[in-house]
Amino acid sequence: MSESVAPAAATRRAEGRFVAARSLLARRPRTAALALVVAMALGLVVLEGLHDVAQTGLNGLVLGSIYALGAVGLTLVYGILKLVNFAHGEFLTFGAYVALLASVTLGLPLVAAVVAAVAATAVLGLGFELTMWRPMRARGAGLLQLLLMAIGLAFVIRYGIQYVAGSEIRTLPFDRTSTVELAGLRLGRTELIVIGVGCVALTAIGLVLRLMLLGKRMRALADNLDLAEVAGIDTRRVTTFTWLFAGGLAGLAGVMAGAVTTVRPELGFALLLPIFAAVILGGIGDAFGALAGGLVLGLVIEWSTLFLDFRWKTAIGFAVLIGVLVVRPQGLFGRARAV
Amino acid sequence: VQKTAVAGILSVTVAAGAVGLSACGEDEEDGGGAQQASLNLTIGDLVPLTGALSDFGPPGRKASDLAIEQIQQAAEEVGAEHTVRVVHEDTQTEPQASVQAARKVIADGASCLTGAWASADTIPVARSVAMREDVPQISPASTSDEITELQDDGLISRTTPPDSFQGPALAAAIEQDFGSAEGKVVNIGARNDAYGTGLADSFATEWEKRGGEIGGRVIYDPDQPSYNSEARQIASGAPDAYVIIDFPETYAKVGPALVRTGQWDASKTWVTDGLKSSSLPKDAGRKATEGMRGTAPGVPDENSAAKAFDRLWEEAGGPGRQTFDAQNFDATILCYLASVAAGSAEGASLAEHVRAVSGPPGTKYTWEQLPDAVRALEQADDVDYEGASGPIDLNEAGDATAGVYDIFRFQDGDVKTFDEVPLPRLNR
Repeated sequence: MSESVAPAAATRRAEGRFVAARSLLARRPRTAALALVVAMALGLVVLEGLHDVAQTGLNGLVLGSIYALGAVGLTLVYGILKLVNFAHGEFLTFGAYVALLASVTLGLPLVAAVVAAVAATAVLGLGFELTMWRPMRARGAGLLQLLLMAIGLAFVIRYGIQYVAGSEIRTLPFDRTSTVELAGLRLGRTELIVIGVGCVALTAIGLVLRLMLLGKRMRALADNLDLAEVAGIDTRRVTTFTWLFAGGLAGLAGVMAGAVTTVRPELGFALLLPIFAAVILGGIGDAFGALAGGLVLGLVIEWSTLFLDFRWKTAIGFAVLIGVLVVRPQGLFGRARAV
Repeated sequence: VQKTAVAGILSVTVAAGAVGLSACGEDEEDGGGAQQASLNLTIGDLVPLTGALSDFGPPGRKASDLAIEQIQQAAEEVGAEHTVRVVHEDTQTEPQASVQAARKVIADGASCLTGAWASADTIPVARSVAMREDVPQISPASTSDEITELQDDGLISRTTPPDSFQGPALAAAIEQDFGSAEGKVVNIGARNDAYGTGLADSFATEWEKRGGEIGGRVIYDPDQPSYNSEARQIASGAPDAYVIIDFPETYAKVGPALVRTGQWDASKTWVTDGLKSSSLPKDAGRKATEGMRGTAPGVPDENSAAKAFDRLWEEAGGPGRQTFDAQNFDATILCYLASVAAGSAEGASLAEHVRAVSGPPGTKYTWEQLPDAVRALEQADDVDYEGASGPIDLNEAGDATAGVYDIFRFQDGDVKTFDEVPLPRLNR
C-alpha cells in the first residue's frame, strides 16, 4: 500500500524542489549542491528511516573519500597543464603496489608503507612530467597527442605492474573485518581510518591551495600559463609541485582503495571512470569541486541502493553527472566560460 | 599443399620403416584392417592465466600439458603416426581477449579448442570464432545455460555439467543438510553476469519447487570498490541459509563486507564451483570463508581413473589441484580421440565424433587405457571415454550429463571435499 503512494508523492515533491533548485544552482552552486544533498538525505529519512539513510550515507562517505582523493590530483593536472591524464588510475594502482611491497615484502610498518607509497607515486608523476610531458609541451603538442600518450602510458604502467607483481589478487595487511559500532551504525575500522585520512589530507591540500603562495601561483597558471610566465612566475617549479601533489594524492588514494578492497593490476583502472565523473561533476580543474564531486557521487550512489536495484549503482552516478551538466555545463564549481 | 605432400611422403616412409621393423622383430602382427592414417593435430587451449579466474589458469594449463604427454605416449605405444601438440593462449578472463586468443591459436593451426573458462568468454568465442571457422570447442568450465541453447551444429560442447544441473544439485545439498527444505528461507547474493544470474535463477526455481522460500535476492555489479550496502541487504532478514554465487576476485571484496555486517554467518552460507578455490581464505580472509560450504562438479569417489589422475598430477609437480583441471585434461583427450575416430585433424570432420567418443555406445576406456582406445578407434570400434573428471557422456546439446557434484567446506583456511550428491538426471 504505502509503497505505491510514497514514490508518487516523493516525485511530486522532488519536481517542485527541482524547479526552485534550478535557479539557485545557477547562482550559488555550492550552497545549492549542499542544499540538494541535505534535501535528498531528509527526503530519504522520511521514506526509509534515519538508520538506513545514515548507514548507507556512511558507506557512501567511504566510497566518496576514495573518489575525492583520486579526483583532486586528476583535476589539478588538467586545470594547470590542460592534460587529461588517463594514466591517473594507474598511479593509484602503483601506489597500492608500493604499499604492498613495503609492508608485505619488506615487512615495514603500515604507516611507513603508506608514506613510501605516497612518496614513490609523487616521484613517478614527476618523472613522467620531466621525461614526457614537459618535452612534449615544449614541442607544442596538442590536447589529442597528449591524451593518446596518456592512454598508452596507462597500459604500459598497468601491464608493467602485472608483469612484475603478477596478476593474482593481493591484500594489504589491514584488518578488513573488524568493525566499530556506534548508535546502531556499523563501519569497518579500516574504512573509518580511510574516511579520517581522506578528510585530513583533503583539508590540508585545500588550505595549501587557498592560503599559500604556491596555491595562488597554481591558480595563476590554471588561468593562463603564458600570462603567468610573463608575470614572473617560475612555471617549472609550479608544474613540478603540481605533479608531486597529484602523484602523492593518487598514491594515497590507491593505498586507501587497496586497504578497503583488494590489490590487483586493474585497481585504478576500475576507479578511473567514477573519478572522472567526480572531476567533471565538480567542474574540471577545480580542486574543491573534485572533492565535493567525489563525496556527492559516493553518497548518491550508496543512497540510491535504498530504493533501486544494486545493478543501477554505476548508472546512477552517471545519471547524476548528466543531470548536473544539463543545468550547469561547467560543473558545480566551475566558472562559466563561453560555451 | 607442398607441406602436406612432404608430410605424406615422410609418413609413408616412416610407416614403411615401422612395418619393416616390426617384421624384423618378434612383435605380434597388428590387425590387418587398421587405418594407418597419419595425424597432425594442434589443440588450441584457451586458459585464464590472468583476470578474475586467474586462480584456475595455471592448473588448467598443466592439465592440458599432462593430457598431451599421455597422448604422445599412447601414440608411441600404439605405433601410430600421430603428432599432437597444444598451444596455450591467455583469455585474461575477458571476452575480447578470449576471442583474440581463439583467433591466434587457429592461426597457429589449431583445429580443436579447449576452453574458454568463464561462460562470458566461451560464448563469444563460440559465436565469432568456433562456429564461423567450423572448429569444435570444448569448454572445461563454462556452466552457463546459454551454452546449451547455442545453435552450434554440434561444434560446442563442455566436459562440465551446466548450471541447470548445478542449481538443483546445490538445492539438494542444502535440503540434505536441513533434512527438509519446507519453509526454510534462503537469501541469494550473485554477481551480475551470465554465471551469477543463471545459477541464481536455477537454484531459486529448484529451491521453491522443494518447498523452500527465497528471502531476498541481491544481484550486484562485479566491479564495485565497495559492497557494504549489498552485504547489508544480503545479510538482512535472518534467513536460514545464504547462497553466494561469485568468483574469487569479487568475493575478496564482498566477503569482508559480509563479515562487517555482523549478522552474516559463514557456516550458514553455501557457494558454487566459482568460489571453490584454495586461495580464497587468503584473498577474502578466514572470517569470510571459514565454515562455508558449496557444490562443484566432482568425480565419483570410487572412480579409479580420477585417483590415478591425482597421482599423475602429484608426480608432475607444479601447481596444485584446482576445480576444472581434470575437465580440461578430458577436453584435450576428447579432441584427440575425436580426431583419431575421424581419421583427420580437420575441424569439421573431427567435430562429428566428439560426442560419440564421450559416451555410449562403446567399450569404456579411461585415460590410462588410452592406447587401447586408440587401437579400438583404428579398428573403427565404438569408444566411450571415461574421463578423469567423470563419465562425461555428452548429450545432444553438448553438455556433460554424467558425474557427481562434490560438496566441499572451507576448513582451517583450505577447501576440503566431504560429501557428494549425484548429478540430477534431467530430461534434456
